[in-house]
Amino acid sequence: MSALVAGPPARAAANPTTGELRSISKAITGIVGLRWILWIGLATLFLGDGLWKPYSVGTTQDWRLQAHMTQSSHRSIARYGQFPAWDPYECGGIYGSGNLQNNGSSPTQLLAWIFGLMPGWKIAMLLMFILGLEGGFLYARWLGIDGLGAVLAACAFCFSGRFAQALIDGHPHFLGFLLFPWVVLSLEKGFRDWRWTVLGGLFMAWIFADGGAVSTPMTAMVLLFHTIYFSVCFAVSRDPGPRWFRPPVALAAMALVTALVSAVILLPALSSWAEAPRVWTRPQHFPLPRILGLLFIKPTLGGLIGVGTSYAGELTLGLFLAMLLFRDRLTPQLLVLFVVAVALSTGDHGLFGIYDWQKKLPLFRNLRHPFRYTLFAAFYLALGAGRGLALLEHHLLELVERWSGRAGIATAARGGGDGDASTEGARERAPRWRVALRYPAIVLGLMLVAGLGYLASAEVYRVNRKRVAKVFTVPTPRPFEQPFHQSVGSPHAANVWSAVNLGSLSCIQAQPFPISKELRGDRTSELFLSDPRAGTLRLVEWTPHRIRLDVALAYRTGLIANMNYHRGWRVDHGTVTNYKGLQGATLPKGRYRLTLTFSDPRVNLGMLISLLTLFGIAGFFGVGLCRRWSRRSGSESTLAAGAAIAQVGFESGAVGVPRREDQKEHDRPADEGVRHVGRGADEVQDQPADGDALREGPA
Amino acid sequence: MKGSRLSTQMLRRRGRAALQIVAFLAALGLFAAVVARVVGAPAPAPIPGPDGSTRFGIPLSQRKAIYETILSQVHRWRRNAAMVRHRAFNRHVVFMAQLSAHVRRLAVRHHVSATQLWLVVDEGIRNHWTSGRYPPLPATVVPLSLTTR
Repeated sequence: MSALVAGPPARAAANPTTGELRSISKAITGIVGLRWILWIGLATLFLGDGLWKPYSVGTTQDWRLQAHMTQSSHRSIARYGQFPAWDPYECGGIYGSGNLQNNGSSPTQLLAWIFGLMPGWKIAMLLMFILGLEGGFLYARWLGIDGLGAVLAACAFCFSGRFAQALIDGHPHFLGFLLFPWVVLSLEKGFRDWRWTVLGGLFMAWIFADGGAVSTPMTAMVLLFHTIYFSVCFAVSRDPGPRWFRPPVALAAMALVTALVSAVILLPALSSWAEAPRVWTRPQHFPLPRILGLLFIKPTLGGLIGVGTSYAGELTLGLFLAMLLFRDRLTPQLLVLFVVAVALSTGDHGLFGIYDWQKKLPLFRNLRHPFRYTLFAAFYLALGAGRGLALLEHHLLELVERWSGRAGIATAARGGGDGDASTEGARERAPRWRVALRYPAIVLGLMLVAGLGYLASAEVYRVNRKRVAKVFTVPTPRPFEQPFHQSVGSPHAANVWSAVNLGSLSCIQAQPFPISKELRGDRTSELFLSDPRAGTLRLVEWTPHRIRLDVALAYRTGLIANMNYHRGWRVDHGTVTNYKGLQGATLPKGRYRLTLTFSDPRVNLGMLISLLTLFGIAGFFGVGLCRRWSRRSGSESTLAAGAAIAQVGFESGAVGVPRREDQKEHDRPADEGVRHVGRGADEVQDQPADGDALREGPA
Repeated sequence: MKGSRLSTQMLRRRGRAALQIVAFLAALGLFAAVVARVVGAPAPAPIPGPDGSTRFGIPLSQRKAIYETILSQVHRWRRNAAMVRHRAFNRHVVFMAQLSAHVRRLAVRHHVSATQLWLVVDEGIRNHWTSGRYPPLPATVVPLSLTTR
């Protein structure tokens, strides 16, 4: 049963000669910098004009809405130095922190702050792809898929059709899905080492903060199935290993870290959900052939759910099927999770009723478009294809090895030679022409496999890149500075209004925010008195979260703002009121400076929790990293230590987590059963040499 | 013999370490080059401030003419939008879609950016511009109302 669960990274082939040759791709991809050069190059070319013309967005309405939300948050942060808890530019003012599509709290806002709004946003997209590729590669390697197979797995996932479709549809916040390999890697490593669950929690929080209204629950759902799969495997396994409850505990720990780190958006979001939920009542069912068509037929027409919009490649499918035929130890895991993802994609009344069950859960009723789960199907498919490629490589080389060595062994047997004669010894007695052709045959085999891997990756990459190439054609608005006013606006040009410091009353959002009917787009002043004869108002300062006015009133009266009411607004004189859905206040008579401030307790409490958690995590891991660094520096030369520093954070994925499986990997006897260190720090288990590991079928 | 093997191992390790560093620096260099090119791309020019009767880089007469062209289409757009039944918000969205498409077409025709055209629309609504033949555009909107289907 243990065969159902992928083991630690497999070693090079048992045979010394082929093993050396086979490990070429492993050695090359093991060089972090080279790998990154590949990722940067591929991601840059994939985004194409999106990068080279950073001041452009896609043609769809959603692109403009996303650009607006990023711009509005950026304006709050960069221009006014305020956390974007309130968005005055959208719908007459809405709760920015409670808007789940808003990426105001995302770490990528930092890039917009450093490099400017549009360049920073585009660089953030590039970074997501690079992170996705690296995460995909590391997860594949964790599963024992090395070298070319891991590269194929990473590329086939990150350049699969759903990501291209996200860029076409104007859903750049779906690029958060690219962090999924990191999350799942952290979850699996977290079964044995809790520090990985912290890292996984951080990645989940990132997905959530990056406008993760859709990506967070979907990722959580797939993680849940991942956890169930491993729990069942561990429960029925007789091997020493993690107990069945470790996976759910790891998942719970990860969820806790996610909740704590993202408290600044989670608390406002929960209140938004509670006050104005948007439950989808219309059933959405997609038959299995349609879902398979999304994944495996080359796209022609496009559209949100056109054929091939989740395209993951035909050759990828072929390699995945090859893995199934080989009955590899990874087969059950990848097949089960692929089927689960496809079943979820079929939606209401779909395969196995999984989606119907999901809709009974709170919050998940707010999800729609189940076909988006094909993205996860593409993930498991890509991993299976990578594994299939690795198996093909292995079997092909083994074939060459037998062909060149069998005659020799047979000769040795006939001559009454030693039955344990090594292949090398046997080869010495093999016909010379076979020995002479052995190396060219191996090189040819490797080239064939490399070519197949290239074709499979290039097919997915080329098809989806072509689709993305047509996206970025609409220039961003020209900036214009003027005093803030609400305007009628338009949801079809949502990114125009915040660029010219105007609010847009006309809007489309995914959440039903309360909007007043009293809002107007022709006010000469955004704040006015309910009784104009009572006195005068003079605007001193306007910022999204703080408005200052000089007030002179002969008697007590009401102040009305041309923006939606929210309980987070405070005044330092008088009391806050709700005037027909508009923000109002009852002001006392007299002359004074009035300050309206947006200060929501949920945001403040969330901010405190988020910051404390982040500082706590940074402090803990910082100390661990310093200790590890000092140990390494003490024992190794400066050059080696430098290389280690370059590698530590990204190879192991988290500071202070040892990669014991890499230690002592070299110089082992080739054909002996290898005593591998398990996935985590504590586990030690017997593992066969790689050749056996690759051949091993399901229990 | 043992010593020479050790030194070979040491050399290999050092070589690998050096390669790691060189490749890492090369990757950083490539990333920096991409970032530099992205950041160095020309940004859209800001819209000029008011100059006499010229606002948003467009003279008053041209702004009024543009706005009148928009007003002339409003009746047709409303008729089209009325074909959407049941929900006032959906009718409003259809109306705004037609307005947006027209603004984009006008921007091309007048060789100005869409942003400038939207500023003209806002100015017209704010100042209640009317041509006499057509009523002004309303300054209110149908509030956001989302379907659950």
